[in-house]
Amino acid sequence: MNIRTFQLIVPMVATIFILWQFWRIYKLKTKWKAIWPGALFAVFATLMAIFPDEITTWLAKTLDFKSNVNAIIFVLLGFLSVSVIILYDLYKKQQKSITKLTIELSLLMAEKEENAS
Amino acid sequence: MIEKDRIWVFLPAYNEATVIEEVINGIKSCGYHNIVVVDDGSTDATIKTAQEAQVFTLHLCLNRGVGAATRAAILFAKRKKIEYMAFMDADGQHYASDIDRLVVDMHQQKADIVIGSRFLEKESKIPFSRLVYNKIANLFTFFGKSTITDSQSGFRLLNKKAINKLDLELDEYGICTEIVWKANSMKLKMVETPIRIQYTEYSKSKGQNLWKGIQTAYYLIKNLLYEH
Repeated sequence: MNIRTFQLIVPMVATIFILWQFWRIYKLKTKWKAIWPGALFAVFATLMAIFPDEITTWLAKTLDFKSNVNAIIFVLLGFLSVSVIILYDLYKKQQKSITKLTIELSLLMAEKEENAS
Repeated sequence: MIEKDRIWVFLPAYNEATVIEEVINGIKSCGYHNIVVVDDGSTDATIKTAQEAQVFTLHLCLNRGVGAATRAAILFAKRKKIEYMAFMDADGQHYASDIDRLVVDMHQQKADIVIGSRFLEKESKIPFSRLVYNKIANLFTFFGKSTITDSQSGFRLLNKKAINKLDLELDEYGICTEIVWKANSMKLKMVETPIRIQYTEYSKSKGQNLWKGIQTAYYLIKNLLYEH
């Protein structure tokens, strides 16, 4: 089996990306929910790079597409849509946390000022 | 009757340095001396002007929206065990003397929340765009099983029961509708009182715009789907 350049580069980049995600969980306490779409994409890209023809053919057959290219485009579009929804939900949760912290901070400052005076 | 010193007046404010002093003086001249300016991360001298006017200040270090300022005010009231809290717009469009009308209605009708309605006052001259916006917003409160005529009014009076029961979540203008919805679902008695309004070029430049309206509608629809 001839190994082509992209079949080495893509898994390598994906592995570095996944390791970076684990580092984020361990060091930055990032939530699993925030990293799994990216990690899943990295795994998918790796598999696609190692077995490009087999996977696209299997996808096209499973989803009943005539062309392998169409199948992969639609799968990626679906993946992107789900990722956007998940990340937007996370963004809104972060916004809520920021508001909560801002409110608590303002109350704390007011209490401090009152005690000081 | 409810004594004036038992009532705290809250002014959620964002970049209102030019008018806030006048608004504060107006409230003081009506005999209400417990005033709290909730500064929603203003970039001008709002907080400094309020402090110079010798009123309480709550300073949100980031601009999080009028809903966040309202929530901060309610939390402040809960912790200080305040009996009555009135909300007024800080842009000078409300008449401080109308607080008396709200107080009288709260006392006479034994209400938990009194909302100042611009639409019940015959003399009100409300700009067409605001009128349309309010009518649409009222539809949402109708879905929340309420028939309030001015759901978007920032002029309201809450008693201790309402202060302790209301647990609000929204950051932006949707807070007005959220208050009506939650008050309804918690069986709080809500009444409306006619209030006067003065729209100046300044006050018209503040407040709602189409994009904020769409965002509010999105929040409300989402909550409507989740809760009903």
